[in-house]
Amino acid sequence: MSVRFWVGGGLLLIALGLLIANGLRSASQYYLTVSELRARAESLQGRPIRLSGIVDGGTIRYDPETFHVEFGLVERVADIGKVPPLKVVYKGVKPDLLQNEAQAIVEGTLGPDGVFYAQNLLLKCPTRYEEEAAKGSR
Amino acid sequence: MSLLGEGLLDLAWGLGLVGMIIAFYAGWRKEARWAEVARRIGLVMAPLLSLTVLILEIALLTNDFRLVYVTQVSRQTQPLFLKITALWGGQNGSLLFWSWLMSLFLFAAMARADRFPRDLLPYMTGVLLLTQTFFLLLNRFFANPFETFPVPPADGRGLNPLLRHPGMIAHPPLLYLGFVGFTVPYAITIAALLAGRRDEGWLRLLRRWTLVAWLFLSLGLLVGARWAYDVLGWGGYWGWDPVENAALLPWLTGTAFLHSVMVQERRGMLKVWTALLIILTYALVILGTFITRTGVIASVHAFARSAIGVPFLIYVGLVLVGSLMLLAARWDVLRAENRMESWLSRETFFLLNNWLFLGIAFAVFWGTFYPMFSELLFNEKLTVGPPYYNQVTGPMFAALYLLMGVIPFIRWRRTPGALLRFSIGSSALAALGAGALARAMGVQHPWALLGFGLCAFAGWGTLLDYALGVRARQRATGEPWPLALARLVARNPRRYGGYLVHLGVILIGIGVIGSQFYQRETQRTLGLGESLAFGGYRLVYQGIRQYTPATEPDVVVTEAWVRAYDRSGRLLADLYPYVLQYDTGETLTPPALRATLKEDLYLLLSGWVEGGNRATFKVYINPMVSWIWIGGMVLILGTLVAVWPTPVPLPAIAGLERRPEEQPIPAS
Repeated sequence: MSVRFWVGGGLLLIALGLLIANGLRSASQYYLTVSELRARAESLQGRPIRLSGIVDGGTIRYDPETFHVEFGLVERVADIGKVPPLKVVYKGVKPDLLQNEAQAIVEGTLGPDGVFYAQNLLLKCPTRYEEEAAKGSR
Repeated sequence: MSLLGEGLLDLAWGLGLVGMIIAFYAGWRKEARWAEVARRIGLVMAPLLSLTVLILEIALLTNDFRLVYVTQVSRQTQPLFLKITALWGGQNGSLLFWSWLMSLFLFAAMARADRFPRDLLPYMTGVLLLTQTFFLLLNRFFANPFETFPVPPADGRGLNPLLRHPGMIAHPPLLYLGFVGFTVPYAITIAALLAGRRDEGWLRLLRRWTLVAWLFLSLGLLVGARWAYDVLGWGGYWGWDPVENAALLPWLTGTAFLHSVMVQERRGMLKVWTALLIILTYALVILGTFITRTGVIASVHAFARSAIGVPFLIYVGLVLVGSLMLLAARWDVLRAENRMESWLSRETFFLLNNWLFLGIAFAVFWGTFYPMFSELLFNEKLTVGPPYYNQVTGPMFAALYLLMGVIPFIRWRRTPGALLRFSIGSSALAALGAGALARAMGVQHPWALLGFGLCAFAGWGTLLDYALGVRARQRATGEPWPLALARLVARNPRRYGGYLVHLGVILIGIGVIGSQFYQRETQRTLGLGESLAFGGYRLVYQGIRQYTPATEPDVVVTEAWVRAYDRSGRLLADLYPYVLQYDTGETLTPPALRATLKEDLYLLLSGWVEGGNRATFKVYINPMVSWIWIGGMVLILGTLVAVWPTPVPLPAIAGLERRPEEQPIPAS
């Protein structure tokens, strides 16, 4: 009896391990900041990436008819206007939280043209770091 | 103000520490007199902390901006109601709120001390006071809500707009009540281990406490999902966000515990396992409090930077190490009294259920902390999104639904084959029928078909059990079926309440499958009078207006008016999606909803130009989301039935006797 339980439990554990390994392989993303991505741009092209940075407000463009959103991300607030930002392109409605100095997390891939093509935008309001504003739009 | 609050906190943690030491001493030396002293200290915590909370409330209501916390969550113009709920609107206040709720549970446990066996009570008091004292030390030294500014500002920042919704006001207290509630079964278990109990009678003490905690935690999760759906405006209700996962984890292990404790009670098996589950649940509750409070999880560094991160980690570590050492020391006492007799028995199926719940919990835990693990393991920060969770937990949830469908017909020890064959046969037919029906209604996706089939399988099995019970009663008594059903449930609320919970879970499953596989969305910019057709609806943009509500002067509301027609041109609803713009720069875009059993039309106003002559809308069609809320209500109802008081034969619990010097405290 007890042998069967160990075998059954073992098989379940193996199944769980395979499920998790498979899930991780197909659904994990690199989690990088703007400068980390820049340093490794070559090798990470086309890979799924979750990128965090600060929005440079002067670079936000939006066309409400075609839902084309583009903006630049920099590493930290002090870089705004000094360091050329990384260009991000997103197809969708411009979120209201997309403002100067907002903390952004974008999910997508880096194209061969050096532009980051985002599928998801998550934005945090610049004034609230610690609170639950992170549960944002997508 | 601040001095008074801090003084009370000092008094509370000092007393708590002393009480804890006395309690453990009393348990060790079997000193009834000292146990009574510890019990009274436990009773005193609630009034002390109520006073502390009251002081913070007064500071919030009188705009006392000398307090840092008040400026973080309130401002002059904030409506009265939101000033009150701002108590749990920020980290430090909500941790004090946690302590206060803890003290209420402590009070409830101590006030009914005569229900607990004498040898367990002091240890239990000690463990509860340990938890209470840890949080009080946190309140006083790491997350002090009474911290003051040297130079107070004129006004505060106000409550985070996301937290102004009724759902968000109710969500944290419910979740916290669930979290705090699990400390009591943990304390009872640890007490039984410390006292070296060999019998199972004390387990009966656990059940109601655990069910109450589980009820609140489930309610908290459901209200949280509803809040996300109604406020966040991304078209969904659950995003596998670390904060959500942190609340789900103790629910998963707690649910496993609820099942395994039945095996221990009925068959005297799985004792180590059951103890392990409640220890794990308690540790996840503490961890969950930390994560839901700070949201910090993304990286090892952020964890360490947070002021309260280190004490939390140390406490969780100590709890785990201490509890597991205790478990190891009591290994001989926890030896199973019976062996598994047949694989076709309730014991095995409950064990399988437990493995699945634990498997899901592990997968969620691993995914949530993957950024930290991957950083430690491969020096590369990786994250996983919803696809990971759906892929990994989906098959395990599916297996749980399969178990739910057969468990009513599996007996303890061993199961007669005939009944099982009949029930599985008919459930399988129901599943095939549901699959065919779903197919005819246009469901193509194989996983969705499988999911609906499993829900039908589980639902049929559960309803069949009710039906067989009612019929047997009718035959015996000749009662009409509604009366037979009512009496059947009243006679065995545990069993039928539990199966009602299962039915709720099945309804939730149907809603989740429908909305996960068949959500559709589109977006369009419309001029006044223009329309868009989508999913059988025609939406016409009628107009827009802007105003500031009298109760909330710091917000500008922009509200669009959209009429929804069906294909034949019949007016279905007037929808008013709106955007809230706060003067702090924050915005919210809650949806306008038209909900039916078939699907929700979920409309967002996402922007406007030319003074509102043109507006941009985002439309989601979310099939069957209403089933989730209905299922949630059924689940809550089922839990209430299961928790309903039945006369417990108290003398059956060994070691329980009234102390002569003490009268039981009246219930009022």
